[in-house]
Amino acid sequence: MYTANEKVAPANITEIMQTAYIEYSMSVIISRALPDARDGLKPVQRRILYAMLREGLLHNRSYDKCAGVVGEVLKNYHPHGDSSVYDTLVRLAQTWVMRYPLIDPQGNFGSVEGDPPAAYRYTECRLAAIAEELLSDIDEDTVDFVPNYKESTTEPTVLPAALPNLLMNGSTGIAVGMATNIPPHNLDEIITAACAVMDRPGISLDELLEIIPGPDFPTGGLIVGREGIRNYMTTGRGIVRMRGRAHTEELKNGKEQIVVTEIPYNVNRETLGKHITNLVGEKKLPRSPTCATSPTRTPAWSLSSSAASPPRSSSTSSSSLPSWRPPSASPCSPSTTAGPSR
Amino acid sequence: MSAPEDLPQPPPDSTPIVESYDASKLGKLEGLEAVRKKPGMYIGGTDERALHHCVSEVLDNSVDEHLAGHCMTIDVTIHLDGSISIRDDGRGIPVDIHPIYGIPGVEMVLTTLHSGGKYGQGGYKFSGGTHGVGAKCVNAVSEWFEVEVSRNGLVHHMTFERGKTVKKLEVIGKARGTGTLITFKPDAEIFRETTVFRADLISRRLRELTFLNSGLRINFTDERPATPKVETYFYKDGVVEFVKQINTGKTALHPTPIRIVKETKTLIDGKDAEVHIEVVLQYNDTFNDLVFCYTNTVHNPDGGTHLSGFRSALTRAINQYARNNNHIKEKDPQVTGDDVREGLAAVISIKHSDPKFESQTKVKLLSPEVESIVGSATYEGLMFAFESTPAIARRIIDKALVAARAREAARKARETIRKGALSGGGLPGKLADCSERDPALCEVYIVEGDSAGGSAKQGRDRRFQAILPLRGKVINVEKARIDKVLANEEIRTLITAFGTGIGEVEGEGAFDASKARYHKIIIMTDADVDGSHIRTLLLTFIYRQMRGLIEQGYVYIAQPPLYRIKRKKREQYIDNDDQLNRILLELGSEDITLSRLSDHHAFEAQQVDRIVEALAALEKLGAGITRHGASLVEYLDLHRPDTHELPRYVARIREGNKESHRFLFDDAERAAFITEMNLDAGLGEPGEPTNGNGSIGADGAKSETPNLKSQIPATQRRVKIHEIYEANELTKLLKALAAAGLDIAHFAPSEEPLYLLTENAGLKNETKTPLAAPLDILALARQLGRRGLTIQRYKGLGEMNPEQLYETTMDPEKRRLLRVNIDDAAKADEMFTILMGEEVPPRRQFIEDNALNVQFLDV
Repeated sequence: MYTANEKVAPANITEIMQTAYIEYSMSVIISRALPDARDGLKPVQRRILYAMLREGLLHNRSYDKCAGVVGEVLKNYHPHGDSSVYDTLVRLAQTWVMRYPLIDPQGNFGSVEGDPPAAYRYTECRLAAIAEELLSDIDEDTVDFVPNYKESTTEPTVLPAALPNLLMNGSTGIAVGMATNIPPHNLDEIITAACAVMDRPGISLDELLEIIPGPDFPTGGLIVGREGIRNYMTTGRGIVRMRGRAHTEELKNGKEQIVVTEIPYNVNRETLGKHITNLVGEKKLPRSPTCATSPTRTPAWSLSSSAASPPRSSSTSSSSLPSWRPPSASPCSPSTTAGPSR
Repeated sequence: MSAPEDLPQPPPDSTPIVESYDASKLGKLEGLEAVRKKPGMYIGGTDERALHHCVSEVLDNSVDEHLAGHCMTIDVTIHLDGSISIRDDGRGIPVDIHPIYGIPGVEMVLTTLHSGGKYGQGGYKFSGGTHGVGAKCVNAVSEWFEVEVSRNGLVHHMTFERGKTVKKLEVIGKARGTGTLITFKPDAEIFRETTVFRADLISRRLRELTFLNSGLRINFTDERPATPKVETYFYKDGVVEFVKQINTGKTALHPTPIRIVKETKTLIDGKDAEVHIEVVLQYNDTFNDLVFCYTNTVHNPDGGTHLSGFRSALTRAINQYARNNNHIKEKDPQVTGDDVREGLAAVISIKHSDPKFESQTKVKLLSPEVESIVGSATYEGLMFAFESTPAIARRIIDKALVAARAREAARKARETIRKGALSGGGLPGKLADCSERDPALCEVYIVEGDSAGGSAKQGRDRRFQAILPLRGKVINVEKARIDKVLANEEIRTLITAFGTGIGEVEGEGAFDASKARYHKIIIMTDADVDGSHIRTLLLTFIYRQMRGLIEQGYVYIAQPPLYRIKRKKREQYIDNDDQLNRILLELGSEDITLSRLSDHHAFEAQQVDRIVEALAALEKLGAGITRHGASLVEYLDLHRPDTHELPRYVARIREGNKESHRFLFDDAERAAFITEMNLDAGLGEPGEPTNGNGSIGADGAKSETPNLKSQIPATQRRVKIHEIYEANELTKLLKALAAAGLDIAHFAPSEEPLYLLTENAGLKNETKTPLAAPLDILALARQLGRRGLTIQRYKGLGEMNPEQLYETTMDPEKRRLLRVNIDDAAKADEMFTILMGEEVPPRRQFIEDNALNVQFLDV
């Protein structure tokens, strides 16, 4: 009686499921979870960097509140939740996650232990110098711009990316029906390899493998076996086993202590510690009453330029640390920074 | 007491008010008139289903020839004019004159009701068409019906129209073999809804037939699309392959299906009858069961005695074997029929010389003797299979046990829900109920989150509309086990709000559609992609646990608008991007006049509209050219002036860092181009994957060639040739543009402006813009359309004001609801398993295959 003049159209459940699911999965694959191969960024990350550029937060200007950045991104470019934007921003600034962090942080941005970062009303940030390389020449009609979601302004579809960000920083993402997991690599090696391919297009994989031995994790560590690397270089899929670095030291009372200086990538240091303690409790490891992470040891991920072992997996080169310098004049000649040493 | 003369008497000269109901008012429908008057009784209706049933009736006759051992191949063809022909190579319908009735046999069976060869006179041992009403009913409801019988070395031909003979039987030539060819066109007077045959429905039936009749070959051709589709169905292992196909996309518990075959004779009403049984089953790792029953290759969707015999034997066999081998312990719950059917895919096909069905449409088998025959055959066959392969038996029993335990857990979980609900007062706190008590008048809206819930609650009509907000994404019931599902908070609120209970298990808490508290359950999620996802999750839950709601037609989907545009006084709500673009163009071309500068010819408003529309379509299809990096205007300028034909191929040549394009008109030019470029390597055939470089582009165009390296040594040159499938459509559009008066000789921008676009002609703010290329008209119209226009995009329902929400999506006068229905249960089941199930590769394959059908990509 309330719905006398209603118009109802029939709809087949199979078609509805199909359309709705394809819409969702394509959207997640293309504009959420998977990075673009050209600039190595997911749409959220790209929008953050672009918004920061438009706000003028360059590496040589002063820091500004993250809340401002988050608000700007939400308002103009990314019509979704604020926590996703802020979490992404924080990740771009964490040095144990990004081999070459794109954002320069100020304040508590979390730790490798899994501590959460401070709320965005407290922290501050600005673009790192390397991120500006990704954004350089964006106003010179280098990339296509599309209208934003409410047609008030435009945003880039991809960044000009003067650096190979996809290989440099890697990426992980879980979409629908597919996922991605790309490890980070050393920038010098990638640039050398790119120049080699440009000079000699017929270069073989073995020669490339000499230039790029494998991934370069910001947390250092060792890679056990080269087969996985060779697999993913050839086919795009491979399993790379990581291992931390440890050595023993003698203590004053004659006992020996195992010191772990590097842990594998994406491992939470605190859970690792707890796990080790549990194993000791189950008598699977030798008796050692405590297992402490001592902050006085120079951890591999510190930003100080002390002589700490630089994050170079399985090598002892003296190449640059996370603090990155702009390249020297002739980027295409094998530079003086150490080449691939074993 | 009144005197007799006061009793009312009818006036003496008036006619009686009631007409006499005598024998002259009775009538008899002669022959096939009966079928035309009451098609529902003979072919089950006049909708699409009945239309395809006609095809089945004729097909069944040919299949019966196969069952009798005389027919090996059947050809089915759908013709361009909407008619369909079915040819078999059986014995051919008898053409000689019937000894008693005096007309040729073929005329008799096609025009006289209740005549045929399947009444036990010895022509057919088994037949699907038992009542002899099949093909003649099709004749009755066809605009025309032709039959050609090849028999005795001659070809005999007859034509009918609407059941009446128009051309008597005559010989039209010599025949090389034997067979029957029937062609008919359904009558639009009877089938008012549709007379278009659906190739997918027919091919499904054909595949079914070849599964059930191993050795039968069916060729199916659909001549209607531009390139006719031809498919052949032939399965040597028939039913076994059928079961394997049911289990595609799922992991089977055992690689080879179990096959049970038995042939017996039995006595029915004193007469000998033969019964052949074939039962094939294979378990997979899902939790649903799919059993298909066939009698004489006719599908019985409602099952019958064969199904019940099979089911009880299956339960008995599994229980017996498990007990004998101590697989079931004391503390395990009893394994019931539902438990052993979890993950079962089975086909029961029986051939019976005299089956009894519930109705002409044969949905349920009633023959009582079949139950014990199927039962004992299944039991023996299963025990044999279990004894010979104990490993498989173990796996099946374990699965049944797991199912039994899960059922126990679910029952306990359901009890806690009931207890909680009853003691807690019933309805979940979040449900904002309506005041009306009658479920038939009430509706409940399921919305996403409290933001949308707020708008909906404020905007609704409290009398009959209830709102239930859900927090976050609903759990995927396909992947999660039922006890986890029942423990989920959101699912519990849904179940309590609907009031029907869930699941198909009998007992307390079972699903009962009559207990529904709302007869309209409307899913109202946001218009963005996450809303789509939540919609799929909700539909999965309802389909798997409360399917009766969909079957009753209680489930709907609301369509909230995506945009709201406002321009001066005009305000409108828009549902999707396509509509938005159209409206923009409409608004844009409202105030403009277009004139040609060469002769000052002004186009009329209607012409301008048509031009703009055609240009828009041109641009959209032109994506097929710009995709390869070529220029659309260059391509269009290559059209042949007389026929407006366009090049069919584009070659993309990359030398070093430079890229250039060459358009090639046809195959001849393409061949010349290949030799010119000195290209080696064969060209892949369209449709074949090429080594690594083949890719599927938009609109289905495939790049045909791999990297063809030219022999020029100095620079690397790579050439790829793509076919442009849109060429034909673009030619049509060019013709349309020419008809509308646009000069299509040049699309590329010229130095001198060719057209003048005037806005607001004659008014104060008149502006004239010269345009140098036809496509600029489009761009400018769009731009003008956007001017002064505010576009508000709704990302969520919470963004709309409550009154706006009510007006657009909830007001029964204005809203447009979609009622969800299940057309094809098997296909729906398959879809849910692929999209929401555990296996990833089928999902990935599905996404890859359908990715290019995406209407719009959300941010």
